[in-house]
Amino acid sequence: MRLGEFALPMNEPLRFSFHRVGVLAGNAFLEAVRQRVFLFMTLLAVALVAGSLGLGELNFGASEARFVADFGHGALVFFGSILTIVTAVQLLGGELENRTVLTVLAKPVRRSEFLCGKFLGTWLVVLVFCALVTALLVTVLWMRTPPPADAAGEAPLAAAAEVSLGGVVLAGVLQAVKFGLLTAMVLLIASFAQTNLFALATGFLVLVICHLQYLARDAWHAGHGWVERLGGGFIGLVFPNFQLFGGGEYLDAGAEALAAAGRVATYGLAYTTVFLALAVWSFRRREI
Amino acid sequence: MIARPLRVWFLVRLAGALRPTFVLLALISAGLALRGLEGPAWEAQQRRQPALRWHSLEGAMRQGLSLGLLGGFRSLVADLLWLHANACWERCDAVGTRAALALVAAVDPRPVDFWLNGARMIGYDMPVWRIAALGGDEAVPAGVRRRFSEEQARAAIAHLEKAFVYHPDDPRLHIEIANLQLQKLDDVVAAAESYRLAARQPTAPFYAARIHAELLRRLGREREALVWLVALHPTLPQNNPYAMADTVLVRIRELEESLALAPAARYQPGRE
Repeated sequence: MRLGEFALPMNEPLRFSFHRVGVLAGNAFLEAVRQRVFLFMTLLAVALVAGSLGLGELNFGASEARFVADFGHGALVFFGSILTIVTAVQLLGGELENRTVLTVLAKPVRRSEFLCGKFLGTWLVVLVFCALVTALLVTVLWMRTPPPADAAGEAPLAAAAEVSLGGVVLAGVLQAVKFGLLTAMVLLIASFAQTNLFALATGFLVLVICHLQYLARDAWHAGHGWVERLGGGFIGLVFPNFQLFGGGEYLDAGAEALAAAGRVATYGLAYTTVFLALAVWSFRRREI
Repeated sequence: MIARPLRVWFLVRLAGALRPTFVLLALISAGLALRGLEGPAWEAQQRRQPALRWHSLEGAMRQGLSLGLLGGFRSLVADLLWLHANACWERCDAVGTRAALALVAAVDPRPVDFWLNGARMIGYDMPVWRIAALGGDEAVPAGVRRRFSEEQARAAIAHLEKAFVYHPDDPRLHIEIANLQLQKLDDVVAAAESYRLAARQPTAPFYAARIHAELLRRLGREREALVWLVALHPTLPQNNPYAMADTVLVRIRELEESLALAPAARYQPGRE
């Protein structure tokens, strides 16, 4: 359905419509999938995951499965972050810079619907990316899983920890939640940014800050001077902690990991709601 | 006439300033509200995998590895640093090797092999380098050689003890410490205790318990060794050759002979 098909009687207040959000999200998704950055990032990540098999000789410290899982997870995190920031900026900032947003907003569409549509469209693209890379990683690991160790061997050899495929999926899901949060943050930046370059640069800066947020928390709790403590406390409160979403520690799945992942996912979704609400609020006050 | 434009200008400026303030206040409120979720989740994660400590990674940052670390390629970065440590080891560069080992441990403390092999470099190879640097065995007095060996063994043990933060249940760390205590420090008492700790871990190899008993016997604590082996024997699987249940029984008999125990007081397999 096209947005032009929505009809509205004159002087009737426009109510928020999930249907219109869905249509906008679908359009945003198609637009993002057609962009080269999606194809490029996906191909690079897939190539890295597949290529990790060739780097098996480099696994000095851990087992080959652990190395492949870590390496594949690294590819997911690295290229997923780039994809999220670039796609979010292109979808919102591009429309603002090219003034095509005026064409859409001239129709009976609320700004909040427009922004939520862009958010969902971007997140959907990133979800597809996460699903593809995680599925490939699981397949590669499943193919390379060694036969069970000899139960009659010396105990440490028999108990050598391998990677759980369920844990790999769990790690992929948590990264998808993190990318949703990152999307909302970038949309907040793009909602007031005057140029795409500013939004991109700030998006990457925020990504780095969020990954190092725990250092600010440490400074807050154990900083040397009041400046360090105050600064640490401020950064620790304003920015979410991206390290919570894991750098591969969920690769060993268990009941404890599942419970921790549930808490982290709730944390991520709550922050996403806050950032998205702020982005909507900021975008509604923007002069286009 | 002037008051109205001024008021408008002031209100516009105020609104402009209030917008980021509102955003910051909202984020601080959210941060405070979500602290209850973040705190326990962060503590749980730190137990599973400690986060990178930046002050210990300054060397890695200089080598341009920050992108890899932030991007999530922690294993790969640690493997590359491990290669660097081995390159330093090949050159017998003690300072470079120690620095690279510390970096490897800081970047990825999860693989136990990094800790074990690093400790072996420190404890077994570095004394030889230090002696060679002073002209070799002929040029260095035995007392100095002994001191170098002990200093490096203690440094290796200190390196391994740091690993317990990340691997509290790993018996291989205790065994490595025990070997250093036994071979480099001639401290049989400490080695026996380390083997006992190793044997108590859930994934301990069977030989750790046997060596503990053997060291007790060497120390003249034969009764303790007998009690230990008698407690150990019923727990050993009969069908696993690594468990060496028959050998343990032979040692029990030897100890009973040595202690001249009465037949009634001797261990009977299968009878509590």
